[in-house]
Amino acid sequence: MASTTTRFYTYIAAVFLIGLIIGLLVPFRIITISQPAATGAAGTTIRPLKIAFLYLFLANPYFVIMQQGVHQAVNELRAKGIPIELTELDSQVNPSLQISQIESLISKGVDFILLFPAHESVQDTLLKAKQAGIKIITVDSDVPNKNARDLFIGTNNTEGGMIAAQLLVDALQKSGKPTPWKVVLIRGDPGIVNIDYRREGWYIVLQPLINQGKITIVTEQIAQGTRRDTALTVMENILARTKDIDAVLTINDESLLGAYQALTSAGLQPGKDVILVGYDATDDAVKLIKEGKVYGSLAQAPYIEGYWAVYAAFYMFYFNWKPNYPNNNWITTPVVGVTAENADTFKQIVAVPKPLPP
Amino acid sequence: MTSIRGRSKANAERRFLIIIPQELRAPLIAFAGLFIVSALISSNFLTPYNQKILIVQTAPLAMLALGETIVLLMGSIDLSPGSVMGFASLVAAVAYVYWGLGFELSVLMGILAGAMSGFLIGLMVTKGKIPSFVASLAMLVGLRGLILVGTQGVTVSGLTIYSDVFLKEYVSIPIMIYMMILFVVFLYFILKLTSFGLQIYAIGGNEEAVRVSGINVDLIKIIGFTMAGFLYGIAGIMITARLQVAYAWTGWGAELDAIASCVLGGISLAGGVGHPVGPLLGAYMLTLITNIMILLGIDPYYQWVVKAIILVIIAGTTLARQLRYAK
Repeated sequence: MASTTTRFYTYIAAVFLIGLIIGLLVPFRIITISQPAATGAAGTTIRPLKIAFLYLFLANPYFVIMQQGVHQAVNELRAKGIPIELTELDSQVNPSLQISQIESLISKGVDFILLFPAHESVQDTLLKAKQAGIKIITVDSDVPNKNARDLFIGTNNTEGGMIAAQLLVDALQKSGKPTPWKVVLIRGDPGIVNIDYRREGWYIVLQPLINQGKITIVTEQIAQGTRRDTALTVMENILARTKDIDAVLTINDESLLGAYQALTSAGLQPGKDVILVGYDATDDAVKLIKEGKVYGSLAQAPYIEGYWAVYAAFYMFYFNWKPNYPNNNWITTPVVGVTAENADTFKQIVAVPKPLPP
Repeated sequence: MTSIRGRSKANAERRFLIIIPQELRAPLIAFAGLFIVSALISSNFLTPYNQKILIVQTAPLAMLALGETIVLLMGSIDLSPGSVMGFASLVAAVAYVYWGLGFELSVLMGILAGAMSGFLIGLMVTKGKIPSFVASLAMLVGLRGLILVGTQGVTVSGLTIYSDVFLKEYVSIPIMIYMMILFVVFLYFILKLTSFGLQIYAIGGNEEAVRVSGINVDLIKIIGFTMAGFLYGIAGIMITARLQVAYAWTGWGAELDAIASCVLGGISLAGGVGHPVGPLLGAYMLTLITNIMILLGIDPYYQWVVKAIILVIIAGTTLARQLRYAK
């Protein structure tokens, strides 16, 4: 009899323990509980919208901001009673990982895949997903085959690059430095389309000036992974070659901050001796812009990209919306050149929820 | 035990007879060759500024390579240096900025976090009987995951004190470099002049024989891995001093550079052969290659190819000669 009682308590304890473990796992999002389908006004259940969002790399603040936009949109819609199941995945800048993630999403069965393509090679898998009836929205970066996706939401990086280069030229003109201006370009790894487009934009503005002899490019180097530490090393090495530099144009703000670090430790005064222009307008860079040490940067709108992507999926799913935008269905998101003048206000343009453009 | 001690004494005598140890000659030749060629082809190479940045760029990699050396000498391999370095720099940064611990204490915590990671790998390898390749791969992935969970991709800034302390210059050389030299000397002492060091070499030579002779191999291995982790932790502190921020990307991919530095410095991947000063030369050479290509203004696309060719030439110099003396 005693043994039965003991067994009973063991049983209770085991159940309790399992419950506890599951209870602990839920807040850490190791297990997700799908929300029960909400009931519409007419008593019919709304079919849940299953969205998967594949970020390129969540260790990059840029995608963290994008994620905030996604969460904002999802929470707004959930508050209105729309049952959205959101699966979020981190592709870790790894095309083969992203391909296997898409493949598992096909077998899992989702309605929408929203993604930053890690590489153009994922487009064949996207076509497979489309055959399986999944709608695809590319966010921030596009695939070459426009049939592989239904909609693209992102910045016009060529235009962004042009604005950044124009900022640099403006600053050089204001500074009154003698021509030819000696400019260092620090770019990212080749083959990443956004970076290539930015560079194309740079040269659209700079090439005429180079031809006129107003600008000489001292050197153009690659900061691997567009990271702060690689850019620091690259800039240090460039400075070992020559310190006669008027301006540095970098492909993103992480590289900018690395270059900034190298310039200061070499005894040059950024903002005075050397004019710096970056791209992305991260918090660290904006701080330096306010201090007058960096001339400018370019704000993209990852927040709005994420936000719009979810809303686009929502309209397409429930209202059978067929987006029809120019340039192969491309919704361009705002880009703003950031300088000391608008360093406090630019976020109102790029980091607040906005309705989708018509 | 007595036989090993006896060999140590004999080794010591031989070492004093020849000023440059045999295992260090090939890397030194490669190093000198590379240095002279660089000085000849670029007028900017020998400038004080360039030499200073070269050695400062080398320092964190050299610490990683030194740690890796201990592991490689034991005949194991360690894939975790990059992640451990990032983890240590992050722990120190978080302790300083968010937990409000003092500077010294937070730096110590960072280094201890590195040592702790090494200790864990040691435990996995010895007690768990997991091959070091897998155990350290797990650490590589796991710690990077912890870093991402901890930072959520956000950069920890407000660490200018690091560069104030570690990049402060005495006789126009930053403290970081004195630290690096200190650790190289320390490691040389440990590995070449103590019985513990000899046991590390012996384990790399023939682990089974050392076990049979009654030495606690597991303990030595755990200490070895912990020391390696400790050195990676120092590297993490150094990289923070250079960047003045701690961020999730720190040390991404650095493990291969560390292993390459060791190999270029004449450390055998099979274990048991190599000189502790070698990795320092290896790390310097690896840094020099990147530097000289930018000084010469080589097209970025060609830099990869050129780097490959130089690497093969150096490895050919250091390894082909060394093989005569390897087991």
